[in-house]
Amino acid sequence: VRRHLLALAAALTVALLAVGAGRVTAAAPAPAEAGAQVRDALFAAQQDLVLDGGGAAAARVGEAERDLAPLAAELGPVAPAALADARAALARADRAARAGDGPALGAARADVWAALLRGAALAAQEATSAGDAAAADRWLGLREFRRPTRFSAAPADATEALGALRAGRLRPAAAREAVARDLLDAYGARMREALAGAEEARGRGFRARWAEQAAAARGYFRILAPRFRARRGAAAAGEAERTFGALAASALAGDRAAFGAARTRAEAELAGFRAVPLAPEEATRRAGQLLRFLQLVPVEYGRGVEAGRVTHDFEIQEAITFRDGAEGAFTDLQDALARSDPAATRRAAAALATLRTDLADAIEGRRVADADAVKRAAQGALDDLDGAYPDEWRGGSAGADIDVVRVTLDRLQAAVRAGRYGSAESARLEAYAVFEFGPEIRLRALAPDLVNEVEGLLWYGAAGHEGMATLVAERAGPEAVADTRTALDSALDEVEVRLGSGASTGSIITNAAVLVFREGLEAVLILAAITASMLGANRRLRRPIMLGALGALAASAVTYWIAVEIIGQLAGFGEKLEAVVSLVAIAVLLLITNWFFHKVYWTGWISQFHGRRRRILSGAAGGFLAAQTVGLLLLGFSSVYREGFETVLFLQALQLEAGSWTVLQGVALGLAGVLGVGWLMFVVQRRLPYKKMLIWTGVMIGFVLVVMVGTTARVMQGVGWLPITPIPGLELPYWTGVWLGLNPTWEGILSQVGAIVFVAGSYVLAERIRGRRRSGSAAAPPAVREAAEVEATEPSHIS
Amino acid sequence: MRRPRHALTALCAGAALVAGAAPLAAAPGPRLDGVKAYLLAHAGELAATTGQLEATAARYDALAKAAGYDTAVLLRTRRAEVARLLARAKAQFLRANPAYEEMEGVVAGVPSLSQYDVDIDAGASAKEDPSSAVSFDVKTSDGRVFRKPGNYFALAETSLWGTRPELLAEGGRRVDLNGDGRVTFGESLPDPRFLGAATRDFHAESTRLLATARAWSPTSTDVFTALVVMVPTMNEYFQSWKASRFVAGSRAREASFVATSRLGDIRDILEGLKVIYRGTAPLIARVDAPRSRRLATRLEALRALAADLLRRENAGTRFTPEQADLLGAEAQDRATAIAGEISQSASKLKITISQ
Repeated sequence: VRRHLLALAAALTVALLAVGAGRVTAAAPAPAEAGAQVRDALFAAQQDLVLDGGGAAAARVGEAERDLAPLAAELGPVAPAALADARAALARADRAARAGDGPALGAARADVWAALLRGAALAAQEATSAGDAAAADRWLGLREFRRPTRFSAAPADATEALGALRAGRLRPAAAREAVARDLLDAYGARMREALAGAEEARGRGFRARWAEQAAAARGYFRILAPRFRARRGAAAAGEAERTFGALAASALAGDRAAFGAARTRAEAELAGFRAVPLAPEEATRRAGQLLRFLQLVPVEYGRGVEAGRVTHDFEIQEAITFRDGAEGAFTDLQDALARSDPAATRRAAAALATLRTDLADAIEGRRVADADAVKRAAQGALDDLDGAYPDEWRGGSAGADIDVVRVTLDRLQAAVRAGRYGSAESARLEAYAVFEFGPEIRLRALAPDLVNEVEGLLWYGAAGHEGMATLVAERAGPEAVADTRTALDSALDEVEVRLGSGASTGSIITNAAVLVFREGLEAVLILAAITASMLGANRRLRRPIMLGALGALAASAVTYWIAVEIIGQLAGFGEKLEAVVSLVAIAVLLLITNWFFHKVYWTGWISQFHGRRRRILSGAAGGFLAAQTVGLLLLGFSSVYREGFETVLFLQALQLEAGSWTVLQGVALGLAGVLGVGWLMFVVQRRLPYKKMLIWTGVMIGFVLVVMVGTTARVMQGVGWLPITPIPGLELPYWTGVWLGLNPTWEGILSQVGAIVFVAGSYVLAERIRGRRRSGSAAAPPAVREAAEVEATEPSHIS
Repeated sequence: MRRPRHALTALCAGAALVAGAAPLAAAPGPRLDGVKAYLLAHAGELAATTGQLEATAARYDALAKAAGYDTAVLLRTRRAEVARLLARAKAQFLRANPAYEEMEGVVAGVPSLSQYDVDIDAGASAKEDPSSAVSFDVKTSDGRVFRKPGNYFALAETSLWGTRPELLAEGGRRVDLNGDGRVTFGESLPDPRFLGAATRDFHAESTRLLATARAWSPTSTDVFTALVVMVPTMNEYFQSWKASRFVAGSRAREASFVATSRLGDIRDILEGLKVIYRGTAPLIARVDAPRSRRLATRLEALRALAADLLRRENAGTRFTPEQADLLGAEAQDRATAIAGEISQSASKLKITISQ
């Protein structure tokens, strides 16, 4: 009972407070509430006219006038012209309601609303200038937003700017500019929507909506007019004002021809105008999107048509998606492009229009343009854009790449929903390629773990989620794919944050050092393993290996220089080049393993046994050794260059981030570490008993070979040279792929098993041959038997 | 793995207590449990109703099978029972529909649940649009496979009301089911094997949704995303209403939305969104109390607009396409404004919206 009484008392208190608050609100509704009431009352008038015969329409307009009163008291001092416009439009609404004129009421309603938005925008900016964040926030309640899209919810720049102003992190002038940009961006978008809406309503013969949308377009333009005037001059602004006036008047009168002419003029006058120029980083992002999307249009189209007919409508739909994305980015950049190269901009616009027609015709079955023609149109636009792009747009934008990754993942999901797993895999590889050669290069410098996470999610799994490669190969359902997609989206969000925040010099040096140390360690491991047995007279065999390794270091340095110059082009071949170099390295390693077991042990033993070492190494065996020298040279080169190339690519990220000097400091540190470990290894090797050292060496070579084979299989899957067949039920942590080359696919595992079998087989075979020889030697004279025993204990006797 | 039924009851009761107690709390906090309880209650209702629909369809299939799947024989021998079963199936559909629509805001708006929306209510057929098609095929007992035929509600609706000829029994397109000498809209015979298979899979999917909903732990990002994603989609719903027979009449291009007006769906979805909003309102009030109140008012006004139009339609008003266009545009504008304000609140609260 007591609890109930307490609850009742609390409820009463809350109710009383609410009533109190209601009184305050009723006394002075905020601009947002008052504006919404005006708008709703006018809509009620329209609704009454349209649905109920209009008997109460005038009364509703009267309500709107009353609702305006409190707002007018606040608006009058800061935006008298806007308030006067709103009042005049309300008077027109009243006349239209009484006359039962739907189009006039619609137009007047749009005029009232646009005038209120204009006044509120002005008031919000004035309050921000005065440093009054609270007042600005109140006025910002009366506004419209850009319609949300796939990539963006309504921006919150103005809200954030006011928060920063309140916290003293932003000065009033800067906050005002942020507020203005946010509002103008929204109203610029709404103006274009209203123009399109008016055109559509005209086409359908919806008179009231036609008039309303045309009036709205004029109203939005008035909000933008000061910026238009600042950019294009007073004469152009006056002309545009008249055009919008004609547009609204012709729509109200239902004059199709006049409306069409005014609309064409409006489009021409607005061409290339953006109320809010894009921020530099946003422009670079859009520029990157434009190129990426446009490049993908002919690729998708080419996959979807064959011999003059559409074979895969899905691909055409994807081409349309990319073209639309390209046009969206182009529209945002058109103003800046036109200033840079008007002719090229016009040609690019025409090419985009041609592509739109071609793709629409193909998907709707009217006409199928030749794939080459589509390619030429896209390439022509790309060439024009390339010429017109300012330098600062050319560096590419990680944000644009991530947008492309996201769109491509959308396609992957759509393909999975449609049961088209081939298309899904193709989309996955595209997403991976864009990530690999775009954001990943910088990201490796800033957050290598995040690279591993994104790659894991795109391949075999990470962070407790299945990888996309596994899911697609197993033909998983959309739910499972959506789960991984959600994880990928979070990771990509994080990627954007990390790329946006940059890194300190210290962390760049550390990352470079760790990178060089890690890759260098692999190279040292191989070199140490191979040269370990080259003792005594065979010490000279180390020379070609070391020469090859030094050559690789020089080649890596040259590659670094080339990469700095042409990173973009090199990156395009990065993974394929890596695959080729890896294959060469594996081939040489296999050769050397084979030689190691069959020739070194055996030949050394035989040479000891027969006392022919000198002859073999310098005489009749010369041809064999010459071939070996080339092989060893190649082995030394490929073992080190493979790592060097990878390191160079990764170092580019750091170089871009902090410059060569900082990177070189890290490289020096890393190399020092590698040399230290290398020295330690050679010391350990020297101290180990010979037989143990041999076993250790063999195991090391085998281990390196197996890891290399696994990694190469994964790289070849990445470039599409090997299929991907996941092993059902096998889940491996991502680190096994990074450190052991162990990935859960049949191709990867079987390749590694093959390598193990090869190494073990070679060893077993060598041992068998050796055993046979030994049993043969048992019948030999005592001196020879003695020599054989010595071989087993003294390293200097072995070649 | 099913939890005991009393756990659900306890959860609902707990959520109700939280929802009821929250206004008394000194500092408002998130009421996301209420959102989950709402989802569970509706997912449970959907699973139960689709289970009944499956049973009815199975009974209808059994009757048809006994008649050798011969429409003439079936009607001659079991017409009254068939009519009764199909009427029952339609009634069950009409109960299942709002159960889903009222939670659609959550299911479609939360990324981890949204695939259920595609398969249950929103996905196209592969023929219409492969990129937004459903993920399943329907396999009938006689071995036919309907590849990605469209969402479950659309399948049930168009086969029961006879607007997709390929889903009807042979000779079942126009049938005088009630024997009054006239064939009116909806008097047709669904393909019994198809209806049986589709409703069986529908029930299975609904059961899976219920299980997923039980495991779901709502986050602030989930609920804000649901609102920002779902609220601005009003125009799409109005467009489908405009294209349906409720507005376009016999010239309707839309085969679905024949049993209930899309306006009902719009109202129900907004009802669900209001519940989600109630979960976020205390959070928003922490940073902007006037906006929190304003959003509640604007959402209710939007719901009231849809409800008023539905009331008029039920009372006999036939809206013209132009009227539907005007109303849809207004709803869309209001919805965009609401979503925009929610985004501002999310920004103030440093809550990420998943796009």
